[in-house]
Amino acid sequence: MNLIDRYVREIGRQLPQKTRADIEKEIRSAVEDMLEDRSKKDGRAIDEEMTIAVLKEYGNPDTVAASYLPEQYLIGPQLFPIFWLVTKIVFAVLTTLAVIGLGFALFGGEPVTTAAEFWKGLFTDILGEYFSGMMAAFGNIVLVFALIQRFATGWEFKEKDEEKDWNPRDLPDVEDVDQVKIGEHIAEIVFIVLGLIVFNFYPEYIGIYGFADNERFFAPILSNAFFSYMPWINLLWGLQFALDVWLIQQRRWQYGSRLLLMAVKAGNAALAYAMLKGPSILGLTPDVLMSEMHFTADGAQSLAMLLAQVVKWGLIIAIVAGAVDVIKALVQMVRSQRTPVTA
Amino acid sequence: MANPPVENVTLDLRRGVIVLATLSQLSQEQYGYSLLKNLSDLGLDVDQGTLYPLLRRLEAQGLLESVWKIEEARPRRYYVISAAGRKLLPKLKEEWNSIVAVMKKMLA
Repeated sequence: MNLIDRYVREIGRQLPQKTRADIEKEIRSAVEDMLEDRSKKDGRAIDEEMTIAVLKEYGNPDTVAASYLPEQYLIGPQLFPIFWLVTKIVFAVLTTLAVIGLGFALFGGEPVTTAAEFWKGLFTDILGEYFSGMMAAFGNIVLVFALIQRFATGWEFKEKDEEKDWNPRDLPDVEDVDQVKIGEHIAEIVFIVLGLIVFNFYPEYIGIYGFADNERFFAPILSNAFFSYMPWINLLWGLQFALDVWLIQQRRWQYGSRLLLMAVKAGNAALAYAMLKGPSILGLTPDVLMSEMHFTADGAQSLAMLLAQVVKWGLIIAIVAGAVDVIKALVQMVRSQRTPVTA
Repeated sequence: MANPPVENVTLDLRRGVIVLATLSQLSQEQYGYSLLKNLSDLGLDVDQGTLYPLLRRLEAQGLLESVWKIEEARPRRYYVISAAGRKLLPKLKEEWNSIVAVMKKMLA
């Protein structure tokens, strides 16, 4: 097989079946025209050396083949911003869950006998699962977007009218993402201080007061299990308090304050997870309902079950809200780095 | 960010011109290599890797027509401007003249 045949075949190998033969034929014809022209110019017969020179001039087979192909994307520029946003959100959620898992493993898991066992568990179970989860999630996201790219080619992601008829007046205001809303943080400080005082110094007063069968009663809402978490609650509230004071002083969100916010929110989610997995934090047991509030056995059982479900879902919502807050803080951090400060 | 090499900037400048140049030279049918030589003789050097795929794209857009002919014992594909291409050409020329006038003012 001569050099031209090999050259044309190498290009054709990279072309779609539908157009291959036609393009191969045209390239062969063009190369032969070039050779004929070169032969006339140089005044000598076509030989291998001349053929090599002409083929090199025509171009690398890969480059020539690529010039006939449309630009190909696994994920194209139109889809890429959405892909990237989804990837960042999923990674943030996975990271939050891993931090929660780490917190639970460190403070609420099964006791380990040796340090080696602890580190082995940390690296193989938590970090291993985290990285394999990240890889699997990334692979799945890429797969989904690649499928959309492949099978939804030609889809318009914006309506034609929307492309032309947009109005600059409809654009959202430029938000100063770093501005601190002082009022919110003052209110938060007040509630934290009240909470710290009541939960640390007057826990015995947290409950339901009332009259049943002409007798005054008191039923504690929270169990002893809840109060075993007080060091963690104090730590998280303390950190939130410090963050609020810092923000009121600084008047602007900064990288460090956002990191602290993410840590506090992740901690809140971790604590809610620990409460969810640990003994019930609810003090209103069937016994308490019957003895203090004079419920019937069936009524007490039903109400206790209902309250347990309410607490369970409240904790789940707290975990999700914590994760969402971490993501929001992360997004704000990214936006802050991108958005120039405006007066 | 590093400055793009001079060749890349020049290539970008020429890229937009090649379509107009190609359409303007195909009122009479020509095969690819003869068009390449013709453009080169007129002072516009275009490489094969740019011209041949462009001819196919213009044909796919309906601006050119092509036909294979056997000449000197080998096939050659001849291209000629289509009716749609002929309709478009004056508009492109007008646009080009306007660009040249504007650029002359800017670069004076």
